[in-house]
Amino acid sequence: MSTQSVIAVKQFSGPDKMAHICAVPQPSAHNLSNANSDRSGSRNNTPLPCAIQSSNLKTELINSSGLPKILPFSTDSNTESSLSCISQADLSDPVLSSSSTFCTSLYTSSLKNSDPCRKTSDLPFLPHPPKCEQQQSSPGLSSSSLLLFDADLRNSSHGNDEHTDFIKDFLNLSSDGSFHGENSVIAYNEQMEFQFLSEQLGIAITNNEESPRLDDIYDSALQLPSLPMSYCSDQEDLHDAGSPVKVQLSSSRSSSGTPSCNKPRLRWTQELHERFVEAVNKLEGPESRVITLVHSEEFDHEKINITVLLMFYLIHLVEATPKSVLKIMKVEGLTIYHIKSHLQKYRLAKYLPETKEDKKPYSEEKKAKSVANGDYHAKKKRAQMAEALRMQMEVQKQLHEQLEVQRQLQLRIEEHARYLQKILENQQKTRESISSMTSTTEGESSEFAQIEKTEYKAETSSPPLSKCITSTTDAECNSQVDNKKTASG
Amino acid sequence: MKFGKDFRNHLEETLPAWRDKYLAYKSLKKLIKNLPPDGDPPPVAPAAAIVPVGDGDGDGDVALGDWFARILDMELHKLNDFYIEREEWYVIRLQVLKERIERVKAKKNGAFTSKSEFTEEMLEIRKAFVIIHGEMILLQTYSSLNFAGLVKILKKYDKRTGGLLSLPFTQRARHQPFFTTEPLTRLVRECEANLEVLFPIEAEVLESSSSSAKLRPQNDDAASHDPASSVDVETSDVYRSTLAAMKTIQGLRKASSTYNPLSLARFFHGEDGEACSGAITSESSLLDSFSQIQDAENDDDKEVQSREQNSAQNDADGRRDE
Repeated sequence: MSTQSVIAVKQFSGPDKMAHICAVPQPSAHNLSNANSDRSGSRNNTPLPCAIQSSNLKTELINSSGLPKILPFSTDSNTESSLSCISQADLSDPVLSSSSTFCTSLYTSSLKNSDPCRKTSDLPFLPHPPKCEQQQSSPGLSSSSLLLFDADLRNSSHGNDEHTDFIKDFLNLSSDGSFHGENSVIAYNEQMEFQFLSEQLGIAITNNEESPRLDDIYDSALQLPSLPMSYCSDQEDLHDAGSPVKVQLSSSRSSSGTPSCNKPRLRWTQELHERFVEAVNKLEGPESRVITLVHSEEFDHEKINITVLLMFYLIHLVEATPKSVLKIMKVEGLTIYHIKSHLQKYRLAKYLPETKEDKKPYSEEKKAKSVANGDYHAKKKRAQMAEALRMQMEVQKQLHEQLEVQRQLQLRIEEHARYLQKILENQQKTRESISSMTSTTEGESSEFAQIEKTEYKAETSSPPLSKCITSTTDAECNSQVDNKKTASG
Repeated sequence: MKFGKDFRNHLEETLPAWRDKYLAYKSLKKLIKNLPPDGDPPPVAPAAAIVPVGDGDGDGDVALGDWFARILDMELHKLNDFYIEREEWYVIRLQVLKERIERVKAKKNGAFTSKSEFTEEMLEIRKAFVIIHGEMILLQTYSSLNFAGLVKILKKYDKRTGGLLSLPFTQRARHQPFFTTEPLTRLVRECEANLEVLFPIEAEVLESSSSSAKLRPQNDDAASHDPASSVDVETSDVYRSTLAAMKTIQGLRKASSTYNPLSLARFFHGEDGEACSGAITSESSLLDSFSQIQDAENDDDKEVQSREQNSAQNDADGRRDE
């Protein structure tokens, strides 16, 4: 094991790193298209009035419009043709791919990470450009150019999941025709921002080139095939740290309702967590990794010292990194951002019981007492506590049952509301057809409208069906109350 | 009106860290109150809201609806974030607890610890289970109450502005993560199953090892003990919140079923801890839902009346119980 990792170090200090990196990006195109189809699927599932969605997007627009205006091309290239846009995107691609892989290797060192993050977080405070300029220049981009733009991004296999998603959002909207111009500008600016970010990253990386890449060493020791997701998400991660666009994005996505993996807000199901634990255990579980390392090698004293050093070095490595966990889990759509926060919580949860076991001031005290007062009291106390816990559990179960009932109720109400809406829609349709039929005679049509209105009101305020049912139950309950009163009295 | 009070009371008594994570019911209500009754766009956007955009297209109604939907959207995000984060935490904790049980079992088989130490440890685990169970139930309460609050707010909005936001937005909310509690319910069931499997056995061990006759009276003694006082801070915190949540949910049910004492009777049965779920036939809950809609539609004028009826009902039941 040790030799393997030592070799790995050598390998990676060599210049063929680029080759390794280049091999990665192919399969992510599949992912992107996947994500897109997913997105459109969820769109179909939630039939919302356009007003709500567009309002959503509007907020995004506000937030994002203030962002990347400082970028070199943003102001003048808006007026340029769509073609230059695409070429611009093309240009930025190589930068994107290389730098994003770099930043995965940077991941372990927080110092390096924090630098670009800070810079990006400064971005929103940069001066905003006048709004009119944006609107003025936007019509230059036609919807077809937007499509081209999107397609181009999809083809260049290293686009970011989120990014294409974002554009896809806009694309959908632009087919509605309302805010099309602004959107394309924003989408374009988004792209620019990515470039900007990656440039910054590039600088950060060259500054720190000498420091050893622990993560890389470790990964090569494991000999795992890397997932394309990892670097995409890494960039997303960095992006996330700074810009408010991202935050807005994540929240608007989570509101789309249907659980889909490429949302930044991920739902950790039990299955997913089990898989996660498996991966972590595989990575850091058996300390035997280090132990066998010492046993298997026959060193003289000096070399053993080196091995011990190496061992400590490896212990640090054996801590599962988000990236390595992600690779082992192999779950589509999962990003390093999800893993990172989950890993943090997992560690916290694991430490919680252990620290409790360690301190135990309460039980310690109790133990001392039990020694003094004999076994009997300790047992009594324990029995009391168990009893209290049992009671508490009973109460909680009761509440749980009530909640289930409540939930059924709420769902039914919602169903009912949906049913009502259907009726309303049907009525609307018939009204439309009627009004078109009777539009020739004016007096008649207005009369019709009046009738419809009253009907409509009746429908919304109290459905006749429910009214009749409740009135019958009313009678029933009254009789029941009477019965009870007579019984008690 | 009643709901607002219940909601506020619940916030005061629930876990302290959760208080600001609930729907901002009160401020939303205030917001609606300050809206002009006929749909003009609001003159100045109130605090915590964004300035409405897209003033050019459509009439004021649409803009207002957009604006309000956006505010509600932000609330939805807040709820979802909190809910998902808590759910994630429980998934992790439950798994860690299960591992801990395995560890303790292994220890026991190896005759590693003394008997009392083992039971001590098991008690700790049991406590942890009960706490996590309680918190999960509280999270379900969170889900339910917030949904109810949202529906109420939407109704108020529609009533005030004559808009039609309620129907679509309720459907939207229904599919939000914070209201899809199936995964959480599964966790709760698993937690319960674990406790059931583990602790009857554990209790047997405890009792059979000692003279059970001697323990009996103490057990009765413990039964009269209030869980809130006998167990330490963590559990009593959860316990108190659970009781508060119970009250609030019962309040909801009462408000929803004023015209249907069938459900009221059911609720009293439920409190006795017998055949609660058995009493719910699909028919009666259907009636329930109808009556709640009916109720919510004209709750203002009939509320006083219904409450009177309600209290009369309570009296009747109380007398019967005696």
